[in-house]
Amino acid sequence: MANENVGKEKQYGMSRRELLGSAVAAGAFTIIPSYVLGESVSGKKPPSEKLNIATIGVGGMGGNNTRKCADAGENIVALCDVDEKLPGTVRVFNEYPDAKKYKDFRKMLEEMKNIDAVIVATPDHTHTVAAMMAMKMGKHVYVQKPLTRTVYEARKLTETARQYKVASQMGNQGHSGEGIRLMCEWIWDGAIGSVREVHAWTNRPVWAQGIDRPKETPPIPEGFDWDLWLGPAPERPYNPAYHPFAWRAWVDFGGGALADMACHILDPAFWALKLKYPISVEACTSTRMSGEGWGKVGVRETYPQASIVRYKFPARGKMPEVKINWYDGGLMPARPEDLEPGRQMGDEDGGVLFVGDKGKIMCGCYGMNPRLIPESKMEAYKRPAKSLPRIKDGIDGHEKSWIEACKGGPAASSNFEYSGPFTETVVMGNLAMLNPYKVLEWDGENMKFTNDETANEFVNPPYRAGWTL
Amino acid sequence: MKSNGISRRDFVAGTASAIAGFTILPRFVLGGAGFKPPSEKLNIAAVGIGGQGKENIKACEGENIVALCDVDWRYAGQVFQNHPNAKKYKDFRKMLDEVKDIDAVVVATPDHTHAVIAMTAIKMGKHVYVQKPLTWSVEEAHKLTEAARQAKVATQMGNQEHSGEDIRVLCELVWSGAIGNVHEAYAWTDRPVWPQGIGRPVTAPVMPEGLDWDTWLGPAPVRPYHPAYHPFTWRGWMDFGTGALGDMGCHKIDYVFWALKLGHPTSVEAYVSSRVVKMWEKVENKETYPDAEIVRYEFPARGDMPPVKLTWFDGGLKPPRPAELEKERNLGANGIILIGDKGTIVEGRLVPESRMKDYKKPTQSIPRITGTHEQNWIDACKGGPPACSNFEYAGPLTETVLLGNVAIRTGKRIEWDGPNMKVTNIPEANELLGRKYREGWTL
Repeated sequence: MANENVGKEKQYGMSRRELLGSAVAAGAFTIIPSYVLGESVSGKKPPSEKLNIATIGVGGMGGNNTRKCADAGENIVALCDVDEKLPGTVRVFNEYPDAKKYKDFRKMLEEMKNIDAVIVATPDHTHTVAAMMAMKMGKHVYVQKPLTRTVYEARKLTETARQYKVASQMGNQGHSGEGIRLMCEWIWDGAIGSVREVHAWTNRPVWAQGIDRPKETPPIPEGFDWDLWLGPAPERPYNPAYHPFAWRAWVDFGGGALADMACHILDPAFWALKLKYPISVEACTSTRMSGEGWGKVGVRETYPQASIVRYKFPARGKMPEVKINWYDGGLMPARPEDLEPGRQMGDEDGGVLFVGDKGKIMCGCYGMNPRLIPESKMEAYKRPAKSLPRIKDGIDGHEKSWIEACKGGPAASSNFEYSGPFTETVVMGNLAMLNPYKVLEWDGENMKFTNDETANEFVNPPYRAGWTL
Repeated sequence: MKSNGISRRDFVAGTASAIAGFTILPRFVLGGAGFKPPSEKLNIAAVGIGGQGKENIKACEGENIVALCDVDWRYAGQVFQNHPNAKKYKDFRKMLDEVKDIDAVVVATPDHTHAVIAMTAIKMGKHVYVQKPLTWSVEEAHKLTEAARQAKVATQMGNQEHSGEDIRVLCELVWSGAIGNVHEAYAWTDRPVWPQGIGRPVTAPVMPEGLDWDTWLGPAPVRPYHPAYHPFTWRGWMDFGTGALGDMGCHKIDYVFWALKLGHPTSVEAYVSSRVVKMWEKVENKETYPDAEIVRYEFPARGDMPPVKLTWFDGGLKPPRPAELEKERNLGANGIILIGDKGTIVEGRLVPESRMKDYKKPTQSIPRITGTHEQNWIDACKGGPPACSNFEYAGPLTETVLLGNVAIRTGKRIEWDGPNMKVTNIPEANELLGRKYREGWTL
């Protein structure tokens, strides 16, 4: 694999970074753990020692990530959450009586000198500040998907992880699974020929989008630090419309259905088709009428209830230009003619359909259950040898893959060299959603649209006073 | 004709409107009931005059406006004043019973009462002009078309763009081979501009004076009056309207339907925006149409035209911008795109515009309509050629458009046997082709 990638590097004009990302993800370095190489990595422990792990944001997915690390035998030394009374927080806090509890991650990182690694599972808008501080202190980071809310933040986190040589992992656990590897191997085997068209979809949002900012200002629940929750985001009064969980809908805090699910669903496309930055993006979005005159609801405040985002990627080596179409909020691509009647498209969370010039492959969310369609083609297909190294325990081993990286093993499966550019591409789709009906031309390396200044405003919107990267 | 799978109905409509071959043989000569010679004035009645009906009546003012009917006299007031000699009614049945000298009827009520009103008039031998969409259901469109054919009355659907220059230019452009064979077509609207994706109101405000709610409901199931339905906002409600697709599809899909000589689709598939009120709970909405819709129709080959896929977008969704469209040009609020193997047409013009400028205009093969869409119908009522959007054309167009709503409400891809009016793969979808009328109402 390593040789193959090196060969392709020049051919595809891939940067060293990409090469590193893909080769590392492919496990080429398994035999030479990075600590053996004597890199000046602060805090890489040998496999025999336990990591001291802290988690920021424990009420949601953070609880699961923490549990996986504890089950793997690591020490959970500190837990941080801005809402200590939230049932999810209380439960996780109680699970780890010995861990020190914090509300402010800054205080935690300053006080607890023995933290080796940090899990960040806060809302999207605080991923970056938390992960950045940890990395600059030489700590390894596991950051929930989407890695960041903005393109610029993803770039900065990727650069910082590289600079500080910390182990990194984005929480797109499907990337550790069997399905995504099969997709890559089959597509690279030519199972469906050249791919010029991909359709991906999700059932999200399963929370309200296309809504206006609430006018009520209920009191802040006891035990909840709203100011800290806001972090670098612009100030606004507390409302349960944002916390808990519903923050994803709001442009100031989350990345909507796209950022939430494309980090899972588009992952097989990004890897198998060796994508990086698109050359253009175009979106159209559902509108909602207020019923008062021709007024529309929720414009630029939340993401729309439903959208279609159309990305175009340039040719990569022998792979031709490809269009990736994203559908959410109930919208779906056309049902392929060769899909047997009654068969579900993808699964309940969503799916991806690769359209090649010699066939089609479809899978569910997380790269699950990849199949050539129709099924007769799947049955007739002679599968290639499994060339990509597997992650132990697959999807369930995603945290473990990071833990091993923290201890000098190969880079984690979805380390930032891969997941950083991937996140940039996913969240730039939101810029199109906020500026629909135009073909926005993207200069990925320079993180800007070359034909629309308004759309550039969201590449790196300013932080609230007191917060910096 | 058989080899194309085009029915006689399609054929008659196509030749009649395309060639106007009957000009020399006026219909009244053929013995149809009630055709007045051009020298005489028609006696016209209108049902539903507060909205688009007002405009239709204005265009008919050269004739005698003998009776006007509206269930809500608050909104009818101005039109009543303009026509002091017209008899005034709330109930169209009473009007048609009492006023014996009516020749022709304009129907511009909400969608759910088009069919019952037009059918009553047709069966009495009266000519009809019916606002678009022709009907609320596929079945109603089919029955009205049959009834009009049988009664030999002059008909017109109110898709006035069908009388325009643009649709003729488009047809001639496509038929001249400007873009070669068309495999892919799009049509879209920015509608709804009224709220959809909402639940039934729970309040029961007092009925405004002067409104006959029971007659407004007509054949639809009973529910209490609410301003969420009337005036105007009935379009979003499944029991009354046909949503953005029914409203604008009859205008926009019209272009594609004529230019590509479409008939019955073979399948229709729809996906719509969902609505979430509470976390993880998508609201299953059987009250209103959704905020945004994608409807995909597949049509078989027609003569030398290959199979074509037509995709409809509404509620803010739009097709992808064609690569040939100049960067500074935007897709309009409503429009169509035809993609052929030799070029692309956006909203009636070849793109890029330089291609349009270079293209030698095809000769005009379709007769032009010089007057208004209403006048075109009036001429038909007086024995002229069938109106351009007569039901032989507008009926099948409406059936196709409204099949989209069947797919939306079914939530699955439906396979359509057009000649037999049957969804073949999902039996229960057939129930959505029509509906059981409220007691006291029949077609």
